[in-house]
Amino acid sequence: MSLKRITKELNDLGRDPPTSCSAGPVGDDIYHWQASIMGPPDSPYAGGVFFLSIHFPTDYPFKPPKIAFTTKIYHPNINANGNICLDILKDQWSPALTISKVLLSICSLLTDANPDDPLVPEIAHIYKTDRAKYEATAREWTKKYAV
Amino acid sequence: MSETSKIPQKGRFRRTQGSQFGTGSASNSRKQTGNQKLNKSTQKGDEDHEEDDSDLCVICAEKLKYIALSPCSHKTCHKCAFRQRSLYEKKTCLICRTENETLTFTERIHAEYDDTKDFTDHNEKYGINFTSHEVAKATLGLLRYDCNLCPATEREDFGTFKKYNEHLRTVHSKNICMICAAHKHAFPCELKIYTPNQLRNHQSRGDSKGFKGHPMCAFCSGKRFYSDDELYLHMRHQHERCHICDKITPASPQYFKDYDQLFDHFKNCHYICTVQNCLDNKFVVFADELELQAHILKEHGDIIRGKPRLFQSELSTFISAPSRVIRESDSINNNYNSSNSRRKSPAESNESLREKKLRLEERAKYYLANSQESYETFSRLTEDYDKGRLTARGLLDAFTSLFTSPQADVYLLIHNVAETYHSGSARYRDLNSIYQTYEQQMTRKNELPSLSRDPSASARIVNTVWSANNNSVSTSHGRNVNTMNLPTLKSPPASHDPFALPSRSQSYKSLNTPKRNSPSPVVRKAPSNNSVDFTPRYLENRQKSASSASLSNGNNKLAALDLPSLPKPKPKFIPPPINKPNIPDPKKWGQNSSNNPNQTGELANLNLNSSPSTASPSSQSKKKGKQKQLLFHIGI
Repeated sequence: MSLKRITKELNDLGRDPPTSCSAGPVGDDIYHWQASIMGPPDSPYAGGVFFLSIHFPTDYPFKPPKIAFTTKIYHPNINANGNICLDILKDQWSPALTISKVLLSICSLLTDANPDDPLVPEIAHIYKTDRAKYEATAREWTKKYAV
Repeated sequence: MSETSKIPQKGRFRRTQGSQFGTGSASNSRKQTGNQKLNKSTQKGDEDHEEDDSDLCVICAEKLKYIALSPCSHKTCHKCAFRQRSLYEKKTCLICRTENETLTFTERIHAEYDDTKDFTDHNEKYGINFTSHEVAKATLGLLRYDCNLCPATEREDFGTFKKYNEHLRTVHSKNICMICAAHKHAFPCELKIYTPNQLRNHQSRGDSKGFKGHPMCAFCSGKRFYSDDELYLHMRHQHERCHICDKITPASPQYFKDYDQLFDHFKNCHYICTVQNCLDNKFVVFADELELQAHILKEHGDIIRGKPRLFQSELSTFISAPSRVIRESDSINNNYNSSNSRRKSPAESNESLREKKLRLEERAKYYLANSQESYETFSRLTEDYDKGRLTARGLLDAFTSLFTSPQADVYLLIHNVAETYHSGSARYRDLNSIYQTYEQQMTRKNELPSLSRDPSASARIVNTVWSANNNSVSTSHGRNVNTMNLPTLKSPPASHDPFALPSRSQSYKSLNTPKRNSPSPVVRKAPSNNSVDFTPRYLENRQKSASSASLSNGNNKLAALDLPSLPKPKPKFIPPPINKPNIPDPKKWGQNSSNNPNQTGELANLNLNSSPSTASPSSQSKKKGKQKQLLFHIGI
């Protein structure tokens, strides 16, 4: 059930690659992909190239894919392991969502963090109280790990 | 029915929907301009899809035979919609998540929900209207527990997976996987039938792509779970996890069968409170001795005072034999370190090189808006450079003319190309020097604004002051020196400035290094904001230098005028950190060379401060070494 759908997504990505992200299988395991996201220009992640790993469950698309950053990133909704706190990857998942759309959502999460539902409370606190400091640190990490 | 009115009020999701339409239109336009090469590679797939896309279910990508229509005007195949309603027991639309009481299932795959009213069957339980008996039979038949191995005439509906499996085993000596049956949300006819051997293989190793078998609990022998998610839940509920190890290495949780085993681990690897009350309460354990002692003082202060002898004897297990404890804790740390390094070191170089190459490619593709033609030009250029047909400078020029889009940053590309070479090679050095020069310019340009709290606003203001001062050199010495000095005062990007370090390392420590009580060797307080910190220091210096009028002023002026045009210092010139421990972190990244100009600036400043003989003897002696180095540099 999942194989056809994943293959279709891969073909669609090849035909119409999204502008600021890309994704494709690692090796010949079509259930394990690597993706990359360009840091949005209007965010402190600008200039960075961030890598993510994607694992499709066999029940995809009825169950959401497992997506995590493999590049370190300083963000209130992304923890040290790269886990992303994003509703559409959990209870708000819809089988109609595709990897392409999810990556775009992650892009928009980079631009607009959600500090009210944080995964890393410390970063969320700084984000809320001292935005300049948050942005400086995020920029610094981007330069260090993603450039 | 307007679609938008039915979309649930979820901000995040709506945004995604929006972007869906965005990419849709963008992709259409790109499709027209077309890019031949890419299409060719996927042509076969394309042909199928171009023709059939509207005939495919958006969920499972299977060809539509019967369709399910929702009041929110969404269309899926009958299997997906029925799976959602019967097996997942949800009535939400698969596409927009609207709750729909009833759906229409029909064989007319281009029909619309509102136009379809001629129902022949209705299923109350799942809320489905059917437009023909055939669709109804095909749909509801999915739930039948029929045995495909029996002849068609003798098939009966077994009603449950258990009875179905029982039949398979007794009559055909075969099985279905009962773990899949319980969790896969598959219709009975979709489950594979295995011989006992195949079943074992399926459960232990997996028998289809993307499926690596049902994971087993390491403590409950033979107990398998549908997927890692279910196993994780089981571990969390049935077994114990060390929360101290979790803090130290969050990526690899340590599990223990039960509290007894966990307690042994606590005793051996962490600092447990041995007061009976705490032992009874469980989980009173600390990552280091200091925390434990803090706890003892806070919670058991009365015990210490009231019954000193009894308690001392207990505590003495720690105090009288500290060597044992320390050795043990050290060995743990070493284990972590060594296991980490062991895991990384062999793979890391390859892995990181691969990632660096990938990063370069992804960046280039992004800057070129995925244009295949330009990308090939780019590949040729990097190859030319690799073969030595192109100099680093030439590569930069070629990049500059190739990457014309506004967001393209050729220097980052140059940097990424450089990273694909070994850091000792000439190719790396050539490219890196270009990048570093650019970096220096950028940091010079940017360092002024960071003096103030609001970067965007002050950037302009301060920059204009800066240029104004450059133009009118003839202003009073004091002021001139004043502004010229500012950038060097601020600039030290942390790692080489012993004063700026604490604030920075603090932020890292809380995030990624395990808690360890390393006393900060730096005496001065480290305020979080550099600008607050540096301004008074600068004023201080200025007052001092003013007292020893002409000489220092002359020196100041000279140094200040020299500063912007200081030659790029050799990467070797890195004053060893005096008493700050080297933090073994990936932080070293590219900083050595990029910081050096600032480093020199910083030193120049120190020199200026100490050159007047009025400086206190102690500070003089401290700075002597640096002073010499600096003179040497200016001399060059």
